[in-house]
Order: sequence, then C-alpha cells, then structure tokens
Amino acid sequence: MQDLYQDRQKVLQVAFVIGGLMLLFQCFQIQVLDKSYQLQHSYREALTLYPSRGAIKDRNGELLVHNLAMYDLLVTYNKVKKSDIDTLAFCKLLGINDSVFFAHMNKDFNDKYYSKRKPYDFLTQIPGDKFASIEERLFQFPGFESRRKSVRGYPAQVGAHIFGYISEVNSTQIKNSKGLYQRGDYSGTTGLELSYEEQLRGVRGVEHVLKDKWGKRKGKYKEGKLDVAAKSGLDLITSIDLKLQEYGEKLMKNKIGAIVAIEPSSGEILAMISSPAYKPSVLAVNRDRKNAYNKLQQDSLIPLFNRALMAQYPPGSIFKPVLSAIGLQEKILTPNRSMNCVGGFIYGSLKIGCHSHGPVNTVSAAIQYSCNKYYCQTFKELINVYGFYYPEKGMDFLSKHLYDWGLGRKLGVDVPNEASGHVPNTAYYNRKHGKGVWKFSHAVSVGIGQGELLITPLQMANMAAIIANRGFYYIPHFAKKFGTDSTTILDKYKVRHYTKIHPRNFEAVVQGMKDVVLAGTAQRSKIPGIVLCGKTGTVENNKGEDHSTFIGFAPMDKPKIAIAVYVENGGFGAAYAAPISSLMIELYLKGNIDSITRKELEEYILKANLIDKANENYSLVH
Amino acid sequence: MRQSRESDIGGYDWTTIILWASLVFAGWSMIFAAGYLDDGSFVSFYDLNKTYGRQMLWIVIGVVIVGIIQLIESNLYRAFAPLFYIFAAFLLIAVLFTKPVNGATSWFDLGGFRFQPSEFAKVATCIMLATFLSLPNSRMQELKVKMIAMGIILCPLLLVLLQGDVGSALVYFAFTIMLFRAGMDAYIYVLGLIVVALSIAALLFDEIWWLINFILFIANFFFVKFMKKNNIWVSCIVLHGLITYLFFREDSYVFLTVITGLVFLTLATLNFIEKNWESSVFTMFFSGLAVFFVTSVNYIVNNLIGAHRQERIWVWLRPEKCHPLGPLYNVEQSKYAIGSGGWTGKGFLQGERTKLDYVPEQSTDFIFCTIGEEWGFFGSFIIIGIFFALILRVLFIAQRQRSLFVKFYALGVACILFFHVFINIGMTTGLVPVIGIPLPFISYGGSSFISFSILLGMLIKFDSDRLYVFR
Repeated sequence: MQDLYQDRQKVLQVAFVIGGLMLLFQCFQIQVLDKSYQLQHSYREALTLYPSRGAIKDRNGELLVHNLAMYDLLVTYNKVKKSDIDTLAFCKLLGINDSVFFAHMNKDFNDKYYSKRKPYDFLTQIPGDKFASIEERLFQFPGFESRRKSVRGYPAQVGAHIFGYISEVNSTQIKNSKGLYQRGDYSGTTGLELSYEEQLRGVRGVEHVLKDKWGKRKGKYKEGKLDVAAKSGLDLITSIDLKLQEYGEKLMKNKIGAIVAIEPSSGEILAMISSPAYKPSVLAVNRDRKNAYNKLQQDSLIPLFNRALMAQYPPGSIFKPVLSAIGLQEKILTPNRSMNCVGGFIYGSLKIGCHSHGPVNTVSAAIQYSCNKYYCQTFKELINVYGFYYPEKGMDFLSKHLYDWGLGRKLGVDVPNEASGHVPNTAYYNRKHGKGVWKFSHAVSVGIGQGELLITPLQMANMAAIIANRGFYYIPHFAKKFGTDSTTILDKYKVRHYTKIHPRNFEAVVQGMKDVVLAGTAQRSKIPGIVLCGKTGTVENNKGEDHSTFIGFAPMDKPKIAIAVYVENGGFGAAYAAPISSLMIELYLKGNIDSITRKELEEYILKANLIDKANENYSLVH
Repeated sequence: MRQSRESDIGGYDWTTIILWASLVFAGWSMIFAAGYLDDGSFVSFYDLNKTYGRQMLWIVIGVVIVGIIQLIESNLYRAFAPLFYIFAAFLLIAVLFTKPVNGATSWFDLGGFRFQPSEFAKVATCIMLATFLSLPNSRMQELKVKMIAMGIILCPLLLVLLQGDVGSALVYFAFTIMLFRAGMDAYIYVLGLIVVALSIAALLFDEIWWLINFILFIANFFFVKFMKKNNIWVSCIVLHGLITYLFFREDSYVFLTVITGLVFLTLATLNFIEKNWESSVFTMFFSGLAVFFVTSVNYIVNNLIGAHRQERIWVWLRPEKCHPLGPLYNVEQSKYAIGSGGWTGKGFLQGERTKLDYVPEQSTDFIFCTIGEEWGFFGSFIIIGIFFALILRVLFIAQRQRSLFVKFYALGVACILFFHVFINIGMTTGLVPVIGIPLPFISYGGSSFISFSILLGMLIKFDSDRLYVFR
C-alpha cells in the first residue's frame, strides 16, 4: 500500500504537542500557580484519641476501678537513623543499657509487621509518673514518640473476681470487631469488664495533625474538620457495698469458700467474695502481669476460680427450708405436722442418721433442729406423690419446683462463667440406674441436701432471697446504672421471677429459720437488736473435714439483706458460716460491730486459719 | 549509495540516542533518589538489594540487547514478525496459568526477577502491525484490511485484559492512533472523542438534565438547518438555548427539558412533513443515542466496572465525592509531592515526601513525584521536554522513511511513547485517572525498561539502514 494520508502526520504532531503542553500546564499549575501544595509542613498523621474507659463505682459512689495513665514509647527506625541521636543519653533517660536499646531497636524487618519507615513499639507500659521526666526531654530524640493509654487502677483492693481485668485485644477479636478495635487496644477479658465492655469502652476518636519532616506538630489538618473527638465510656454504678465487700474479704482470709450477699427487694448483689482472693492490681496491665498470672494459675488453691459463681457444692441442711416450702405448697406437709424421729430415717436396710434433738411437732421445729428423718420422709412423700411405682413423675415434679427456685440452671448474673449447679431429675436417674429400676430410696439423700444435688453459692444466696421475699426473686446482678445514661439493657433485672410457692407457706419456714438462730443450731450467731433468720448446714465431706455453710436474711420483716456463706472444711455450719453471716449482716445493717461479745466472735473468725500451712504457693500472691 | 552527514555518524540518528540516553540517566538518578535514604543504608550503586542497583543491572542488559539488535540484518525482524507475534501471544496465554500477584496474573517469576510478557507483546504487536500495513495489498480503504488491523491489536489486548491488568491493556489503544495515521476512517475517532466528552460531562454532575437539554438543543439546531428555513428560525433556536442556560435555575431543568423535548418533536414532525427523511432520521437516531448514553453512563460506572475502577474515576472527576483519607489519598499525596517542589525543587535526594512513604509506588508508577519534588517545575519541564522532543523526533524519523514498514513501525513507537508518557505523568498530576503504567526509561522495572530499549533499539537500526536500501 502507499502512504496516502501524509496530511494526517500534521494532525498527529499537533495532537502530541497539545498533549505535551497539557502536561506542562498541569505541572505549572500545581508546582507554581497553586501555592497550597508547597506548604512545607503538610505531612499528615492521624492520631488515635483513646477514650477513657468508664469507671466502676460502688452503690454509694465510692470508686472501685478507675483509669491510670500509662505510656508506650514508639520508634521509627529510619528517623532515628537519620538524626543520629545521643544513644547514651537516651538510655540513661530511660534507665536501660545499650544492649537493651539495640534489642528493642533492631526488629526483624523482613517480618511484614515491622517497617523501617513506620513507628513500632520500643518500650511499652511505662507508668505515668515515670514517664513525666521522659516526656520532657523526648523532643531531643527525634524518631521517638509516645502513645498515651489508660489502664485500670484499683483504689480499693477488693473484688478482683467481680471486676475481672482488661487485656490487649488479639488478632481474632480485631478481625471480628469490624474496625472497633485496633492493635494495642484493651478490652475486658473477664468479669464486669467483659460483661459491660460495650458500655465501658467508649468510642475512639481521631485527630489529623500536620507534621514537618522532623515529626513536630505544625497544626491541624484541614482545620480539624475531619477530627472526631473520643467519647468516654460510661461509668458503671454497681450494687456492691464497698464496706461490706472489704469486710467479707477480711473475714474470709485464710479460709476457702465464698460469700454472696443480695438485697432481696431488688436482686442487687451487695457483696460477692470468693476466697482465696487476689488483689485486682496484680492483673492490672503492667509489665509483670504475665508472671503474676502464671503464679495465680499454678496456685493449688486456684484463686482465679470464682467460687461464688463457679463452685458447685452440695448444700447440706440449708436445703431444708426449700424442701419445707415445697412440701407445704404441695400439701405433703402441714405447718403442724409432727414426726417421731427415732434417730434417723430407716427404710429397709437404708438408714440415714439424725442427731438427738427435741420433739419435732411442727415444720418450724424440723427446721430449727434440722431433723434428717423429717426431710427424708418429706422427700419420700414428694417423690411418691403419684404412687410408689411412679418415682419418675414425682422426681420431675420436684425438679421443676427447684428449677423455679433458680437451681440447676444459670441465674443469669452479669458476670460471665456462672455455673449452673446440678438438680438431679428423672433423666439423670434413668441414666444412672436404668429406667424403671430406681425408686425414691435411690435419691433420698437429696432430701437433706446431700447426694447429687449441687448448688453454687450465688444460687444459695438467691434461695435465701426467695425465702426473704416469701416467694419471688430478681435475677441477682451487679449493674445498677450507667452514669447518667438510661440504657434499657438493665431492664431484665427489674422483673420479678415467681416460684410456685404461696407466700403463706413461708410463714412456718421463716419461723423455723428464726428459731434456728434464737434457740437452734446457730445460737452463737444472734445479733443483738436484729431478728436474723437462717439455717446452718454441715455438708458431709468424705475427703476431709465437713463443709460449713449458712443461708440467712435479716431483718425478719422487710429483709434488707440475704446472705449465703460457704466455708470449705469449716466443720459445723454453726462454727464458721453462721458467725460470718451474722457479722456481715450486722455490719451491713448497723454499720459496725460494737458489743463486746460480737467483737470476740469477730476476733475468733479473723484468727481462724483453715488453710493448710504447708501450701506455700498461696502466700506468694496474698 | 551512502550519504554521510555530520549528524548521523554510522547512519545512526544521534539526536534520538542523546535524548534517549539522557532519559535513562535521569530515570536512574530518580530511582536512586527514591530508594536512597541515608549514608548508613547505602552500600554501593550496584547493590542488588536496592531498586537502583537492580535498575543499573537492567540498564547494562538493555545496552547489550540494543547492541545485539544493531548486529542483526534488519530484514529479519520484518520476516519473523508473525513469529514474534505468535510467540508473544503464546507467552500471554501461558502467563494466565501462573500464581496471581496483587490480583493480576501478569508476571513470570524467574528466580527473584519478575518478567512481564505484556511489555514485550507491545513490541511484537508494533512490528506485526507495521509489517501487515506495509504489505503491498493492504489497502486501508478495504473493510477486510481494517478488520485484520484491528484484530492484530485486539488479540493481545484481550489477553492482557484476561490477566486482570487493565492499565497495560489500555496501552494497546495507542495503536489506534497509528491506525488513524495509516488511514482508518476519521469519523470513528470523532465519534470516540464525542463519546468520551459526553461521558465526562455526564459524570461531572449528579444531575444530567442540562446535558440532555443541551443534546436536544443541538438536535433542534440541526433540524432547523435541514429545513433550510431562513435565519430568523435559526436565531430563535439559538435564543431559546441561550435563555435556557443563562436565566434559569437548576431546579427548573426538568420543566425546561420537557419544553425543549416538545420543540424537538415539533421540529421532527415538520421535517417529516417536508420529507427530509434522511436527515431527520439521522438526527433523531443520534440525539436519541446520545441521550440514552448520558443517562446510562452513571449506571455503568456505578454498577458494571467494579468498585476499584469506579473509585479511580470518581477520584479523577469528582474528588469532592471521595473521602480525603480513602481513595483520594494517593492522588492527593502525589500532587502534594509534585506541587511541593515549586519552581526549583528541594534538591537532589531531598524529597522528603517521596522518601517517607507519603507517595505510593514511588519508584515505579509514581516516579514522576520524585522528579517533581526534587527538581521542581524546571525538572518537570526538562523531563516532559525531553520526552516530547523524543516523540516528535520519532515522528520526524517516520516521515523521512522510504520504507513503509519502518515508517509505520516508527509511528507505532511514537504512539506508544506518547500514550505512556501522557497517561503516566497525567495520572501523577491528576490530569487523567490513575492507570498503572510505567513511565518509559524512568520507572523502575526490568520488563518495561528492556522492552522500551528493544523498541527504540530496533527503530535506530531500521533508521540507520534507510539510505542503504530502497524497500
């Protein structure tokens, strides 16, 4: 072919020249005409503004958990290399030697996580007071920058099990949070910190600043138009009574067990003690935490285990008031039913012993003397309510009652990891003995709170609250409200949960519990001027000393506090659990312990040491 | 017959070679500036762990290859053009089966060095197209020839598109400029330009009523013209248009468009009555098509081309729609870096923005940022000047060839160079949307550097032979 389009060469030339001129003009425009591009200090950096986490307060506004300033020191490798800093002075300032300096400085830059051009952690978790002197001179060391973080401080060193602790979020949490968390953020790991993470954490903010090439701040990017202020987390007002909590932890020192105190009229938990405890500051964010955590974990007494929620104990005799109320409701018992205790419950070859006590002519007396025969009989009649050959139906009937009492299931307290306890039911016995094989006699020890029945201390306290309320309870909880905010998430704690027991059936039970303290097993725990109703329990323990337990509430009318105490290996219920309960109640209702006899009782409890001294691990923490 | 002139020693076009060499030198210095941080990290110019060290290696390899090209009889290139082309197509297919890098299967991994066949396919396509167009019976007036020429371009284009590398695929459009020179119908290009203009106009605004109004107004103008009414009518239509644009507010545009539409229908009916069939159908068809097109452009961009490309288009045309810290960030940083250079720049190795990672890809696609920042407007002026001097020189070389093959080959080289330079510098300065293609001889990267070396190396070889033979 021939080149027939010579004239188009000109078009091409002109088009190319125009293209070149466009580029030149554009360059001229942004390099010379538009001065806004030449601002030297327009290096932008987005700084994260960390919100302060909500504080946790007790019911009277006392601070339980607050925020402490903590600093991380970050370094940008290339900036440090460029500016040739005085390494020696820097190490002196930080109090480290130069081998540590280089160890922190030289990361593995082949690793994707580290870049020589981006800041990475140099030294983390420097306490606020120590950092003040560092910050003053930090400008002399370009390439280093600080990052403020707030961690948790504990003005009152109590309630570690309740509050839980916070820790740095891991990569899965970051991935699942859809941008809510970033590397280095803290979130609640256990306890209330975890349950109310959403309310406590607040919302991160961002500030865009302009920096010059030495990293100095020169002002706000676009006059702060893109900045977002951080929103602090909400303060959590808990139902805890700090004084009571502190006193409870003091009383439980050197004992293993738990105390739970509830305000029956609201379900608010006044105190929850699990012993052995540890100081919450031990697991606060600092550089020794890992060590401390490992020590706690290796401790043979498992202080990390929150016994108040997670330990499932056989209740022993404190179960008797519950069975009385159910028996009365189902007309198995009448308030004046009497039974002849011949030293125990005898059924064929089965014999459950009873101690010697006065005549049992009423339900109240049965509770007062804790008569085993009476409750084995009641249990037998309850199970055989549809006839001797239909214990399945009777057992289901009873376990449904107990379920309404909050037993054998999680109550829904606002601290995670609650255990559900165990209420044996038909399915359980069918599995254990075979369907149609078992009779009431296989389960009769449940009637006196032994055997397969397992209850957590929280459920025990809730049982006491139900009796105190004469038939209903609120889900036990810690959260009263969030600062000034009126969220609806706490509405579920304002609903009454009824048992199937009519209030009049509680009269005999309460009377019996009153007599327990006045003239029964817990006479030593009388509180002058206050009518305490309670029930002791001595739980048979074939591995060692019996467990001492007590539930109670006071005053008898319009109760203000319901309590459950469980002391492992404490012997008789009246020995430790009942005195501890009465001291707690007295402190809560009167504000102090004043009479001489009561002081003596307090002294006796404080001195008691039920922990084997050979167990040295324990002393490391406390 | 051998003429000797002082300017072409050994028959070579030394102007081209000097421009070329200065680009390579400037390019390497810029890669050095982008990669160099401080004395502590600097080992030597040949440090293969650094981009500048490796680029040095590529330059040496490039010079050797250009030397070898000069030793081979130039007729061979032409004879083997179909073979090169088929081989390139084979490589483009083979590369589809490699492991994707950054979402595109564009590279062969050869022991640490990555090799991008689409760069070499450009060279093969250029020779192939030049060979085909210079065949004695290739007459551009024939539809068959046009189709084959388009086919030669589209084949590698589609293969590169399959790799997921849209930027490199777009480069093949450079050959359509060459086809224009060879005699492709001009109206296609006019239509293409109109389509581009309409798209940009439609994308620039959320409300496109004014654009529809404008199209209808143009159509009305043509209707009146076709009816050969006297000038009073024409001026009425023009007046109508002027009033519409000058005096009415945006919220009444729907109403105004309806009125213009009614005028349009009236004029169309009048045209039919006057039996101007051809012209009125033509006008209606094209105005209808234009209206349909502008209404669907927004839909196409929002729904069909993928979020990533959509973002780039919005960054280009509607920066106010984009979050300044999101998609806008790269282009804004690039413009900041270039803009901060001012008249004279910050000086060699002083470009803080490019060094401290404010600019992405600072040694490959965004290398021009380093030029702009460190050498200022003078540097940009000189680099753009050298590029366009080189492009115009290649165009001149094309013009002086007697061999049609070499002429079309040179045209192809000029078009590729122009396309690369215009798109690359245009994208760093915000003139065109971000399309990731390298700046010839300056961007870091072996495949790109060597393929451009081959492209120019063959050109000077062909050019040096121009007086020997009459082909």
